[in-house]
Amino acid sequence: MRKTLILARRELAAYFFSPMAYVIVALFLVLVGWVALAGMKVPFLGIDKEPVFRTGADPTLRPLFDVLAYALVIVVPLLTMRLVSDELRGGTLETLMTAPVTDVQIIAGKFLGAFGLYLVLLATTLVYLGLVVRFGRPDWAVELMGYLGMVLLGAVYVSVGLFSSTLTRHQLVAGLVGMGILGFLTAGFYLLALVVPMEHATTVSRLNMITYFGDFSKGVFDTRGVILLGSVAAFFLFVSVKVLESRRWR
Amino acid sequence: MAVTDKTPAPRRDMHLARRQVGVNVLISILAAALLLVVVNVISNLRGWRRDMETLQRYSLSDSARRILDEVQQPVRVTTIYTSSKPDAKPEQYLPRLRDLLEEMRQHRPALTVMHANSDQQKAEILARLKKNLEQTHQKQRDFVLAFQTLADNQSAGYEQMAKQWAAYPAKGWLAQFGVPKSLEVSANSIKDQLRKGSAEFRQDMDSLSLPNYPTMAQSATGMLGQLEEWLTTSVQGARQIADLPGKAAKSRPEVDAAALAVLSAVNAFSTALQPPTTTAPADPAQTLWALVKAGDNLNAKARAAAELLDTLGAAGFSQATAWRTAQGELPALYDELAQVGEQLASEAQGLRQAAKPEVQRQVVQAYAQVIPKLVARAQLAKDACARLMSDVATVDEATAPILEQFRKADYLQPQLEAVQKLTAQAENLPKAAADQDITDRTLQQNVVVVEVGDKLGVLDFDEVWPLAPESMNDLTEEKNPRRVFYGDRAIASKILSLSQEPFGEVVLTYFEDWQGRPTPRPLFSMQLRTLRQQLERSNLKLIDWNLADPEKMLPPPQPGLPRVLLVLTPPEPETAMPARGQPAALSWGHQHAKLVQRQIDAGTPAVFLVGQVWPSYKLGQLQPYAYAFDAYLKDVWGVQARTGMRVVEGVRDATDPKAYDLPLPRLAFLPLSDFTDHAIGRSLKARKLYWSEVCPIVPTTPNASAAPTTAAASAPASEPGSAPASGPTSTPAPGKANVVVRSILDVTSPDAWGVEKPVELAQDLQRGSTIGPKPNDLRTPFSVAVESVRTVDGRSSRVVVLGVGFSYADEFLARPVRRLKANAAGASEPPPLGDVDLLTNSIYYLLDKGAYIGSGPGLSQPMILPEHNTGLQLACILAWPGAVLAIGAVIMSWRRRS
Repeated sequence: MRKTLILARRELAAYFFSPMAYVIVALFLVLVGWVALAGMKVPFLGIDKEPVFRTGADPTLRPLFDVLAYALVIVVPLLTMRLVSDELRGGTLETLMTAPVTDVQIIAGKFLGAFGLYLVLLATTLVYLGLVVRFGRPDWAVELMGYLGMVLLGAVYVSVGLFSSTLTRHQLVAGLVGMGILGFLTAGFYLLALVVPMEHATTVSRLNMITYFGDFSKGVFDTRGVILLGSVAAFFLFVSVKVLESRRWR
Repeated sequence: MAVTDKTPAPRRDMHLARRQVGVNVLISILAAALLLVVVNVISNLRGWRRDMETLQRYSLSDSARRILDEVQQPVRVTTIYTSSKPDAKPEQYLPRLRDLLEEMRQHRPALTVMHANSDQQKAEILARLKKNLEQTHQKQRDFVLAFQTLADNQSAGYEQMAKQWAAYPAKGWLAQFGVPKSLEVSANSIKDQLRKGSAEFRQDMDSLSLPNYPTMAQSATGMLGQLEEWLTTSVQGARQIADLPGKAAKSRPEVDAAALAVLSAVNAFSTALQPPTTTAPADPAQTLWALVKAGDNLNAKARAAAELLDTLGAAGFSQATAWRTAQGELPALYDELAQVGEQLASEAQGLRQAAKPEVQRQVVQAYAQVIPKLVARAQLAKDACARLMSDVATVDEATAPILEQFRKADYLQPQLEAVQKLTAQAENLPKAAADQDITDRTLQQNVVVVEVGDKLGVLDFDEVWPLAPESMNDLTEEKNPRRVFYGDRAIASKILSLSQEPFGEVVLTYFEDWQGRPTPRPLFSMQLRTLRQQLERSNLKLIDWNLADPEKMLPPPQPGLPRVLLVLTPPEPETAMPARGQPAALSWGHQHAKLVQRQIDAGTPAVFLVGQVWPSYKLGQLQPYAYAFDAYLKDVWGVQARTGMRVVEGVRDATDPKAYDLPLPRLAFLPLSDFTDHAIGRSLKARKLYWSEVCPIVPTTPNASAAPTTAAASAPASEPGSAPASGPTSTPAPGKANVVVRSILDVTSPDAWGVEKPVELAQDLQRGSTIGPKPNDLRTPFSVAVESVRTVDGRSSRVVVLGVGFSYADEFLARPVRRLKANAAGASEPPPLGDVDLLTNSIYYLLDKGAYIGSGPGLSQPMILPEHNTGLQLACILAWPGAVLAIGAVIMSWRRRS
């Protein structure tokens, strides 16, 4: 565990010592700010969110979270794409593998590091929650559930990003693969639900990671959502370990 | 599996080991995937879900759960949200509905939920519903199809018939009766109508939309009726015409004789006026006497001729061209001659008796001038008669076979029989309620289709997403008025009404004698069509009890069907004398009130609908309306309906805090939503409702000596443990009544008050004066809807008094609400149909179906932003991202230095 935490700290520090992370976080915040003030409409994905800060609106960050759930499909792979592929490209993975750490520890450490950054990213939205409190009286349980949903969804996104990073030495390819997988797990299932026969539409839409996240964002706690999001994250972490493991034998 | 052995191996072994590792990895990934699926399947079967939101907006209401638990038939709910309107976008309104239906499905897994998002899916659903409707209305459909077959078969025949008549010679025998043209036009018209009807039905049945079989059957029945009438008339007319030549030949001598007799009678005048007209008669009195006799004779003969012709005319001769001359129809000519004869006889008789001989001579000479014209007229009539008889009797060769065909018994008979057979089928069709409403609603955008068993119901957009209260919309500039989600109650109620037997029977009790006066105020039964529909949709059965109709007694309640009286405000007793020749108006009296009271005192709960009633002039003075149940409600139930008062809410004058303005929209649509926690109103708290002609309902001290007309029967106690919101409570003593009055809807606004003299208020408004509460006016808070529970020896009975006046009239419920926005500009909202929920809830409550009172939409406190929020914008877009960049720059710089 100690080794995992050391690896995680190293990864997290690497983010904060790289200007790219700040640029991505700043851009992310511009997007968040824009959604908070102007709302967001993406009819293609069924997104039509009113601004968070609007007289007469419900005092909640829910519209923001609903948009972020899709926006992070792009942002998270950008943050995670370098996790393993950078090591592959620089040849440092072999060095790491000769160190007295297991593959599980390597993957867990890298996941926790990236997930830590994700949490920091998420924490930046607390400023907007503060502004909501300033102008209205939010339902704390709903906001808490919203953040819980974002944390669970983030775990899935980071694990998928990490997995895609283990597949190739090219960061950009890893990023695109990550976006592709996440796009399928979210928008893909959303669109699929529109075309499958109606009796299967509900089941297909339930495979969409954002469907369960939607429950959390509106304040509904559902064990099925926790288990789905948690198990999908665990699955991709496990597959990442296996991919790393197989690299030893290439 | 971690591999730690890093010893180099021979190449072949290495290859095998790699393959083994690869297989292991693959198997373990597949196992993990399988585990993923298994874990999620199990969690789906045994999931735990909880709505953490304070308002519980995402949970099913208890009412909806109960309805879903009790429904026995299969339920299928389909959303068709495909609107492209900016204020009804599916992406905005469908997710919430999906959530609710998912909650419903989780509560009742047998519930089938489907969402049609695209036009293709909508078409799929419509096709299925169409099939469903075809089964439900099988007989109507078969009838329509049979009509189509008949129309297709017969219309070709009528087309052929029209062509044949078009080709008939213009001077043929039948042409004199106008038969060819008439038959050509009518056959064409019938053919067109049948083809058009048939094509429309075909189009309706083939199109994607839902065919409305009951309405189509109704329409087909109407067309068949017209066709049957036309065929019957045609057959009868043809037979009548075919007989005319024979009749003409037979009647010709008689007609000729009558015409000749008239001509002879006219000629008798000439004889009577001998010597010739130029010479004055020697004995004018004698001549006049002869004229009297000739006149009487002419009158008799001409009248006989006219009657004979009338008989022939009725037999069909009147259709002939020769029947009409330039001077008029033949019988009219003879009528005229008869009148002339009568007049001449009368004048001659008068002159003979009263005039001097000189005058008599002069008149006789004058008559002599007129006689030739009379002769000419008689001759003309005779010739016309001869021509008529000749024309009708002489049939040309081309027409003879046609007439022969007309005479046959089977002329148009097969067509008529086919039509009659189908008409008989129409009479035996099951009485299906016309589903125009369902069909029209299904064709709208954003609808929810609810199917319970073989029953079908449709909820439109406004029912699921009604507009939010005024105060909410005022905050949002009204570009897209805010809507609230009402799906839980709307869908559950629809399932309920489609799945269960009626909860109870609502007896609409009123006193209406339309023979006399006065009209009941503020409501009468014929204004309640919308209310009736809404109550029926809420699974209630309605019957009428008109106290003014002594023959229509209230039937005893059906077993298992509890009853509630819905008592409209009765008219005042008639004091005016009836107008001459008019029957005295049946007047409301004490005995009628007793009939109602007896029902209530026997344990039937009641809802009293009252409201402000304008005073009326009696003996030249304005007399306030005396509510017939005033004493009863006060003494027995401890409530008083202040029907003379009107509740108004003014707009405070900016300069004078005591002065108010009362704009017309505010006078006509009073916004009231201060519902208490009473079970009837609790669910309506979040809704802003508009009312009309509202009167206050105030608690009074019940008269201890007042006793019900019969001993109170057992009635279930109201909510146990609930405390009264207002009203007196007495300690129950044995045999004594304990009355508890609880408010349901209050008026709390400081700008509202109960106007004691509405007439003065109206005058003030007319003068343009500012208004305000007067010393005797009723100040807030007060109630406008209350429940009173009377308990005697542990047995309770209940009434609800709603002072909502005109609010349930069709004119009010169907009219868009005009309201004032914060900036005093006008705006309109959908009709205030939500008002009916107060009554429905009251009835549910009184029927002990309080569990079915659904919850209204919950609303959170909205956010209010300062008018100028540039700081907020800067913070969101620039400051915070900028701060992150700055932090990054500091860290980078620190790292570089260190």
